[in-house]
Amino acid sequence: MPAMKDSYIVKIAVEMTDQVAQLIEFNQKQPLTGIIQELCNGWNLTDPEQYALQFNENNNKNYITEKNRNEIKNGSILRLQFSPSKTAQDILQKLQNGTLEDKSRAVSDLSSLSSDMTFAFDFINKQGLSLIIKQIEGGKCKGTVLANTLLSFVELMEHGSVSWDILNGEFITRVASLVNTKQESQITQSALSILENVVLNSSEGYGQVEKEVPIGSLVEHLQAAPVVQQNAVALINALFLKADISKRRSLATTLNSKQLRMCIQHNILQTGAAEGAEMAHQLYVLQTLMLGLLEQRMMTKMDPQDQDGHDKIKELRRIAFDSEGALGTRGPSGFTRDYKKLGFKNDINPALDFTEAPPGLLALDCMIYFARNHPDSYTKLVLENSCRADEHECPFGRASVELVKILCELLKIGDSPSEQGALFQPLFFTHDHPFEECYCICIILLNKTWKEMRATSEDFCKVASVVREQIVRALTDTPSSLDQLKARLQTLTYSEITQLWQLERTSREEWESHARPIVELREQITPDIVCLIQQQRLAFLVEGTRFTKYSTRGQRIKDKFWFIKLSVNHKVLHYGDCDEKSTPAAEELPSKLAVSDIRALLTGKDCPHMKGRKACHQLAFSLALEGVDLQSLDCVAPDELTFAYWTDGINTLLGNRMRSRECEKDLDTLLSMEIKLRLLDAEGITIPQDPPIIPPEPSHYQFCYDLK
Amino acid sequence: MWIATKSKKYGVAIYNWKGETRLGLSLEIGETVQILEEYPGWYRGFSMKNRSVKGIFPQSYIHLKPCKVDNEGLFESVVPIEDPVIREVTLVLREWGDIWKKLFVNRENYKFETVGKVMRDLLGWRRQLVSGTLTHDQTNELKLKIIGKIDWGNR
Repeated sequence: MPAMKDSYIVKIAVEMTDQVAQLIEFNQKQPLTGIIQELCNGWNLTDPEQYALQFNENNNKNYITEKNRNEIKNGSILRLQFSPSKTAQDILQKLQNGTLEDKSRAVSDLSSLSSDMTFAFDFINKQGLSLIIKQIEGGKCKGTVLANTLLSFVELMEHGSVSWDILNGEFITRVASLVNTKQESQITQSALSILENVVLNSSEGYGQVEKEVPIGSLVEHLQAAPVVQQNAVALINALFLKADISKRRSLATTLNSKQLRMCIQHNILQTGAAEGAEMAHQLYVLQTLMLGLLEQRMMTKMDPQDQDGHDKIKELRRIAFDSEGALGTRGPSGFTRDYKKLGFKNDINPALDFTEAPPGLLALDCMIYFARNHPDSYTKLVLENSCRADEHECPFGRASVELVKILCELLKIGDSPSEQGALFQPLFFTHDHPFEECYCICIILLNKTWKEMRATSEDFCKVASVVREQIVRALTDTPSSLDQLKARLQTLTYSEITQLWQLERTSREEWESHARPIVELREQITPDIVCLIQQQRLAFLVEGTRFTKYSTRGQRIKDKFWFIKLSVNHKVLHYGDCDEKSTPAAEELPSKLAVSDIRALLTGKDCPHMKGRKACHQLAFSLALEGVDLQSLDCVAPDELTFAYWTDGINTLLGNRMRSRECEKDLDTLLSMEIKLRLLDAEGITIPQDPPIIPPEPSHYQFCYDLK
Repeated sequence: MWIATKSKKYGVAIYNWKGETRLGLSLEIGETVQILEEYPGWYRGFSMKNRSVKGIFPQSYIHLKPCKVDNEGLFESVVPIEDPVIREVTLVLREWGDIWKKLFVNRENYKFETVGKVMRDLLGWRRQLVSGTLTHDQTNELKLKIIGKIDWGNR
């Protein structure tokens, strides 16, 4: 059976340095050793066990093993090489006893071979890794040799077969010193990557790296080549991840320092380096970790004894109303009045406003930040609303709590960074209090939207949902600075949002009109609607029409008219001459014609009275007759509508489908209205694309309500 | 066991169903039903269009809506709990729908066009009301506008 045979035989070529390539049929069922044996025979090589096959593609030079041999496809070109085991042995020998030049070449080979799992395991098993570690610790090699040694180490460890705990302090110190001094970028890159892994994967490593590598020395690397930058951010993230909460805070302060921020901004964000997927991921992790520091405040409810909290509330009041003077003289009722003006839900004891977590005390922190750092905007916002006499004031306190909650949700504060996340907001690297600044921008936005909506306190949730939408949409554009965020939010007004919503509704409606159940319903209703149109057309025919007379050669006869109308029982057409004004009754018309005598409806140039005319009349139609003396009744309609109605009417009488464009139009108008009316009670309910699942039939039909 | 439903009394069909089962009640999408009793996966009840034909239909085809039940038992009646203006617009639109079709057959073109336009306006406004994204002030304004139009239509 040739088909069976083909499925496990692939035709390939095998090359070898200094040899003529062999074309072979590679049998997937034959053990590799056998195939290699045959190849060696072909080239007269002894010791076939010293050889192995290798892929020979640009991005894949792996050794072929019993596991990956299925990747070999027809037309592949493979290479016969010394086996991993022999190669590893050779490299080790050269590393130990070779000349300087031998060593250099060996370590270069090693760095490119180490990513191959088969080779790596052989090399590690022959104690190669310990040799490499000693070489790094020894600190004797430099330049390219060092770079290749470090790279080999990184690659060998990548396979995950050796624990990071085998590394001793000296090794870490040595690598840390490489990070702390200026080195070639390949060296720095590998050194950073090693330290990142030490921090994340070894039990003791974090403490040492944290001590020996000051963040300051990493700043340098943020200005270097992209891969170095990336590994530097990754190391920062690793240090952050392993730090306890107090160390995290001090680390965050360092990171938020202007120098570091500027460094990230100028060297990473503005150079486009952040567009790479790995860098984007690292920045996402950094952002998530930094914002994560807010989690504790977010989850803390205000304690009634919290003096700091009470002081902040008092300070909010003082900053807002200080300029009015005579604060102290108004007594306790004055407090309540002011707290009401500040828009707290609990104006007697505003501390109760912060007992929901999230957003917990973070909301209070944001409010006080706003009041302290933007006192003008703050007082303006509070006073503007406290002076309004009507129901339309925007409650600052309540709105702030809600807004902080929304921001926490949108920015996923408290979530640990995910493996795949790559979405970061550049603006969070542009300020030392980016979250609080975002809040300040958004609370002003909320107040603006509130006014645009002419909202009252009952509309609080609706305003919040609009503001949420505004923030989501503004952040989708990943504004690069707080100013850009502000500018974007300015353009996303309430009316803009409602328009976008309207648009979404319309496109949803558009989608729904093609949804299967709606199409089915349309089909179901169509016959009824067609019937309505038929009724309308026949009624038109019963009313009758005055036509201009045309000669048999299709010439219009001036001032001569005739009239045709359908009998009420739709069985007979009455016709006869008339003048230009009269509307004769059926009895006044001398001629008549049974509908059953009509053979066919002819239109346009098919009409007998249009035959031979160059310019045929678009509005001409004829009733072809049979079984009577008259051959046909020839008419020319005065306008398109009359033409459409008459042809539709006649087609209906003949039991044909109505064909006019007018009929299509009417059908569409009536149908779409009918569908809308049928669906009134389903408004706002999502219509499923596919039929819902039908449950198994009931096992019995003994109903509890049953009319006997 | 078939058990009389307590709160699940009223709903709308979200898909067409031909009623292909024993004692099945066929449904068209958008049709409202009153529910009498339930069995795992099924309801038994009748269409609001024709109370005399009772039958069973899958629960998965029904979106339940809030309602008030009067006269509990076999002869109970349900009143949907809905904003009165929305309810009114619904009834008016249905009523006008019939009139509108008559206007079409009688070729009262001008009235047909005008009523059609007003109906489409009402449909749009009703949709806005149902979506619930409007503020109180806006809702009240819209309701006044709707009531004004209805008065116009009823002449």
